[in-house]
Amino acid sequence: MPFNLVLIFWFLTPMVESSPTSFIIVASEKSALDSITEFQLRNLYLGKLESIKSNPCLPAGVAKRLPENQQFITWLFGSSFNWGNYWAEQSVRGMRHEPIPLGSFALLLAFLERNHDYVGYLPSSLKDELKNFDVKSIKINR
Amino acid sequence: MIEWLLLIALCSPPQTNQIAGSKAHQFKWHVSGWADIGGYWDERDSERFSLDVHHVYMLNHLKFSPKLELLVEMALEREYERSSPRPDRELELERAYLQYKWRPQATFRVGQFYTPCGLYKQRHWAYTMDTFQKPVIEENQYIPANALGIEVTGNFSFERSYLQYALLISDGDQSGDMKPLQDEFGFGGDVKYNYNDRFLAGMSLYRYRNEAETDNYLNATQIYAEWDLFRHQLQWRMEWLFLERSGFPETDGYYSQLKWNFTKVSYLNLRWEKAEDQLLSQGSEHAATLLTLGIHLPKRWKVKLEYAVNQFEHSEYSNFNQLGLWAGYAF
Repeated sequence: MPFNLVLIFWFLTPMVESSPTSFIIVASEKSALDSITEFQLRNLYLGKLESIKSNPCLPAGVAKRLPENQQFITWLFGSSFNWGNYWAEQSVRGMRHEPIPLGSFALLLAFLERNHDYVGYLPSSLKDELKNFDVKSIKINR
Repeated sequence: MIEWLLLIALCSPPQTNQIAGSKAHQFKWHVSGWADIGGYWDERDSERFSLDVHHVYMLNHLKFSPKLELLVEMALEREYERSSPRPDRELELERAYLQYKWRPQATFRVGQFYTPCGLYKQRHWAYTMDTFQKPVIEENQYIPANALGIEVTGNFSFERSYLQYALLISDGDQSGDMKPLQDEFGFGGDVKYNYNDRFLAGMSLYRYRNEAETDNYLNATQIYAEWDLFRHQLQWRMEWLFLERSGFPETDGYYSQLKWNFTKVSYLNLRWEKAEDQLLSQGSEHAATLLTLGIHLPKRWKVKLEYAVNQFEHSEYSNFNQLGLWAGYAF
């Protein structure tokens, strides 16, 4: 692509600040998962991936009314990704379900503790909460 | 009218993601669907413009366990037809299949399902895709959109990529969309590779033949690719179809498009295409250029404004331009 065209797109596409919140990925202590790549994590939350290294793996998150829900989407997919549109399209294609939404991070951690096939997320600022639950942090390989 | 009321009555409130206690693996019943309205100002008939409801779809998705699912989809549709006369609306069974996920590498489907072919073949085009009009190679349905038979599909995932395949044996297109192949036996498959959500490429191969008339056949090869730049802000996509058919010379067709997501909820899409068009020009070559502005509104509404320039190889078919307006809603 010609360099000037690239510049036009670069300048005309609205720039949005990157999300200031960072997240850690968490799963039950009994989960076989220890690390995950960013590609796998994205596809897990898009419903395209249901296992990692032959171990079942499903996504969980917090409800849309919590601001951390959108912050996590921006953190993982970038500010230009339209999560609502993606799931509207998956819904009319059939056979896809959004990540399970829990009402709070405490509920999410309790859910992960009892459902070993699921992974979830937690704002880095809440990392200390991990010691209150039987869950672990999963390393993300960029 | 009765069909409409029946379809609306069937659209009971969706019960999504029901979770009780700590167990996520429960029976789930998910109802979804979409409907749209649209129309074209057409140079061939400048006096007429009428908005019309083109599609109403309703899906019932029953998940009995993490492995066993049933999908039943009803459709009331009148596609925007570039040829005339336009067909009447009919309530049809679009898809109905039982799916068993044995493992990620092998999922089995039995029943009537979409033919796994190309990037986005016929999968609710108007709502899920960037343009209002389908490309000529899709509109003509050279490869039948639906299959009645058995499908095996699977996914091999790696750290930064995945490979997806689908194989099917079909006993015809029972939806009746593709009359010449309606009763024909077909088999084939599709394979695609996605690298890091940036690049996707794939190939589909299908062969259909009439068991009674062995010299009546269709061999189709489709190659496709998609490339994302600047984290989904700019996207290029192409599909190329090559056909061998009994009684016709070999032919091919393609479309290529560039999409610019200039905000999170709006885009501009430019598509070029050229293919043999049986619907509009009795098999002569049809070239089209389409510019589409799309906006995703809240509550799953979408609108599109599309300008299309159509040109034909043979002078007996007049070139024409169109301006289209479309709105769709998913529930």
